[in-house]
Amino acid sequence: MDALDVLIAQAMQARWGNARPSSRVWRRIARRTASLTFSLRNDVSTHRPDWRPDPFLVPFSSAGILLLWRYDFLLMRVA
Amino acid sequence: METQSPDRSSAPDGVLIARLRRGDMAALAELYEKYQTPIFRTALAITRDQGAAEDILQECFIRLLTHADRIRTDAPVGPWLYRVAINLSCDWIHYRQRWSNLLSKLVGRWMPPLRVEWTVEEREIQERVREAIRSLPLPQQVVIVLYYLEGLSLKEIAEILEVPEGTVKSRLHYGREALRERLAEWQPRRGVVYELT
Repeated sequence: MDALDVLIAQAMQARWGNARPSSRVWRRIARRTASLTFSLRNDVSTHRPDWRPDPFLVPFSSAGILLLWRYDFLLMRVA
Repeated sequence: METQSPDRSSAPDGVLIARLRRGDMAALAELYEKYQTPIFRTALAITRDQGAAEDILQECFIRLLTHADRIRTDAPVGPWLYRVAINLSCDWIHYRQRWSNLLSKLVGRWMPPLRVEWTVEEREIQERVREAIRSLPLPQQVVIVLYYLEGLSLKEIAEILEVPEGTVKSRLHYGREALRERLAEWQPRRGVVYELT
């Protein structure tokens, strides 16, 4: 280590050696991770094998939905 | 979600990453407590902008959370964090340079060039050194920051930058030589002799 090395190290340490981030950085991280983990959990939940659509949104069984879809067939047969 | 300030316990990084994968935000807080200062200092020394360095620090830890599944648990997470911080800092520098080039072109059209007379005193030598470092190519700056500010070895820097150790050595050598030349250029004019050999 020569004089130039010492000079460079001193110049950098003098300016940034004691630099610390403000406490608001952690608060910002905490806020973002909170929203991030919430959305991640929601995304992941729909990929679970036991996941089913909300019954309120689709209040019929799959057979019932098929029946509703092709109700014209039924009408034709009845007629 | 843990929103209070991180505590000072220090489990091995691999254990903390494993906990983070399970959604334990206290592990993120512990990693933040451990690495916030060196990561922030490195970003600040490269960008020279407090706000940018804080944004980069924040982004590093957000990525730590979102990439936790891909981070090794058998090694310290420090090199990974340094790498992300350096990449983000370099991106920020490039982005700012594009804007400053555009602005200087616009300003140059309407204003005569400024002639800056530096009143250099011996106490300002450190500022001169920092300015000389800033004039180096970015890869050399990064190596100088990690070597002189963070006190990392050539091997550690090579691991962070994912380049051969010889490349780090070469960047450091050429960076030092450029600094020696640039500092020598203005010293004789000030009548002050600094021995830089």
